[in-house]
Amino acid sequence: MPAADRINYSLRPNKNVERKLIVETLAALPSAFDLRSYRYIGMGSLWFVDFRLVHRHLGIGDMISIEDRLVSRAKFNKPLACITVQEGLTTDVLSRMDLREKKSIVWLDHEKGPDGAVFDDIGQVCPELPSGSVLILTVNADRRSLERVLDDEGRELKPGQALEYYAREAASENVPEELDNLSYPPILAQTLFRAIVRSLRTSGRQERFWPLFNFLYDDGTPMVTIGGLILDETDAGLFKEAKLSEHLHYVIDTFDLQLELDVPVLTPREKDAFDQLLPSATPISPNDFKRKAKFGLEASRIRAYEKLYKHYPTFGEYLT
Amino acid sequence: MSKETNKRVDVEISAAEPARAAAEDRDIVVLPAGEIDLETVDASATKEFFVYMITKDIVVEDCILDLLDNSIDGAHRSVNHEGDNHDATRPLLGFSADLTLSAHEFQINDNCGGMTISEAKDYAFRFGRHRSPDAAATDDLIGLYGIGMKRAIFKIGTVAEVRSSTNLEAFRVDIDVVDWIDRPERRTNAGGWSFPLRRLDLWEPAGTRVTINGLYGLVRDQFADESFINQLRKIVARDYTFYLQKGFVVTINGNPVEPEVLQFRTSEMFAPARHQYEDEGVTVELIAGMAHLPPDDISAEARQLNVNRSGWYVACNDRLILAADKTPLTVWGDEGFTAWHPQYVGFRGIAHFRAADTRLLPWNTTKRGIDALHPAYRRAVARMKKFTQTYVKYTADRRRNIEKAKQLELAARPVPLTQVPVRQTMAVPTIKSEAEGPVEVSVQYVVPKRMLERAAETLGNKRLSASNVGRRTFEYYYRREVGE
Repeated sequence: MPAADRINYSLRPNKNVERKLIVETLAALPSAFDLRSYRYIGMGSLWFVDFRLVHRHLGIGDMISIEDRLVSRAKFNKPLACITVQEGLTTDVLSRMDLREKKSIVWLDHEKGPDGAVFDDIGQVCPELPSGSVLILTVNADRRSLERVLDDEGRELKPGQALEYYAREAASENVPEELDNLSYPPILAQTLFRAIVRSLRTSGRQERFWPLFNFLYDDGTPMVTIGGLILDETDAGLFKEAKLSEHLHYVIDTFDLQLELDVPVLTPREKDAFDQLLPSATPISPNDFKRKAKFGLEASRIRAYEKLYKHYPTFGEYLT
Repeated sequence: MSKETNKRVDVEISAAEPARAAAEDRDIVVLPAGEIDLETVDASATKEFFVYMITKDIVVEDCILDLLDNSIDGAHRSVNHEGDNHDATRPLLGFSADLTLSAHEFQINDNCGGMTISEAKDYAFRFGRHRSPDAAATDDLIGLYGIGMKRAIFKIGTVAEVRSSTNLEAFRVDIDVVDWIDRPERRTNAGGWSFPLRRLDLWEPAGTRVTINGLYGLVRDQFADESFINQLRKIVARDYTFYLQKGFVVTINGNPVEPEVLQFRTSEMFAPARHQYEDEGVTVELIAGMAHLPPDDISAEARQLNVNRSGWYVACNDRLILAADKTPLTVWGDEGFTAWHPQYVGFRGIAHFRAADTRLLPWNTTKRGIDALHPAYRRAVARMKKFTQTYVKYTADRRRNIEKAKQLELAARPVPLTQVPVRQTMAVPTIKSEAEGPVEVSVQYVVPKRMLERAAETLGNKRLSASNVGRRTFEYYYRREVGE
């Protein structure tokens, strides 16, 4: 890939698009859920982009950001009065909270993969989040986090075994020993879903987990985001009626489907030229595209942009 | 076997279609020349088989506790019927069960209200629980399956006498097990599976006495063994602690059993959690906190004083099922939760499950184990983990300033369970590292035991603990080579 196609990691267009897709989906949940009354728990870091989106589009006014290292900077940077910064590691902060008392949207965005806190976090939140709550987990899907993992006797584990080691009881029996960056992300997603389902069951809950998202994207590092709802029978009925997966093409209704987000890198000029062709009743072929837009793009990129163009970010600089 | 099996049936089987007739009528087997023959398999149980089955998987101690359960059941029932004229904190005051065990005889004698003759006929001496006409499903009964007394008798000896008196009637039943087994088993004859019952004049106080003689060899040896009696006493002290504290008295060979009293250390900084909630007909009460001071030495060789009093206690209707549990059966090591570590000695959690309908409780059929998959139990475990986590974290945090931590811990006074107030969360102090305090690291390594002992000797005390030897040798080196 030519260098110009690789955008600055700090701008992360795929993550940007994913964020908007997720908030759009949540906004489409049945009004009976009354999202305004929810609490949002996330990891805003210093930029709090998700917090702003959630507040603006979902109307949530009770927000908590978990921050471990840059606490005072986070407190300085929080954009809204309704955000509280809680200091500590996710598992510790979650264990201190009474999650039973309020329905929540919990989005834990980890830098690490299965070797990090994600399985512990699942164990913290699943026994407690009341029906109607949303759980979203983002983890690192780079296969390298499964390398150089040693077992109790100091022997290096194969990647599949390393995943089993981290996931414990949630690991599938069928994980192949060798995993590459193609096979690993879907398996990682499945393992996370399984861990959630298991945690709900072993904590004696009647509620089930209904999937919404299973995204794979790469803004320099492959990442997987899975998400869904914890619902009892009544809420599940309301949710099924809304038929979200029929209206929103990126919402899944089974655990085993993973969607790759691969937004093409376009200059603002290219974006405008492309937008002038959209929406299009028929898919645009590369030749057609080149003729009308006056620059060339591969078919896959054209298709990806067609699907996500409404959420595509534009970046600019503002003067202070 | 019914009389019908011997019935002769005359049927005309036409020569042309013998097979069809046979298929239609199960009593008929096609045989030459109109003969009827019939074989059946007698599937009725022999009494020996029954006795064998119900006694094989239970130990004598548990049989004795089953009898004790019946007495406690009776006490609860008497309290309910008499109404509210008892001290609320000691509702079982006045009720007692006296156990005497020797090589010749076993006896349990209680004053817990006795049983009626209809209860005796329909329930106590019947095989299989037949609901007593007086008992409602809402009676607080732990003798749930009705099998305890019969099983105890069969397990302990060959001759038993059961006498019981209520306020209205009294009776006596004599059981000679050998004779009973030998008696013919014709179902139509009431003598087959029954015991003789004789009415008696009433006596006071109303209660039940079970006497067993002709003890089996193994049982005789156990009852003659002082250590068995002591062990039984300890089990009663622990497993029946809640009943004993409610006023029920149990004596073993004349000596009353003192309940093991559970306490929690409490101060402004330390307070146990005490949280109660309803879960589909079951009232769950969870108490958790620091019962004893955290240990100084957590190395493998250290003797842990309070280890047998630390961990989770689980009770159903005040009967202790798990005591000082450190296994995944409660929280430790379950689904990724931290496994038990000596560092946690001093932690105590108590989980009470109470229900009027005993079928809702999370115990298994023997009432001596937990049904770990019971949904209400799993939901309680999720909360139990949360409380445990607070304490676990404290044991790690306290290392930041161990001197300060110890001060605060000592200042917390032991408070008996009955006086622990309601509190949604466990309180533990936040221990911050001292402002100028140095960052500390733990040094751990393995050395041959002989070397350690030799070093300890030269340090002046052969029995010095490993961690102290480590500390002293490090200081020795530091003083000599680093020189501060």
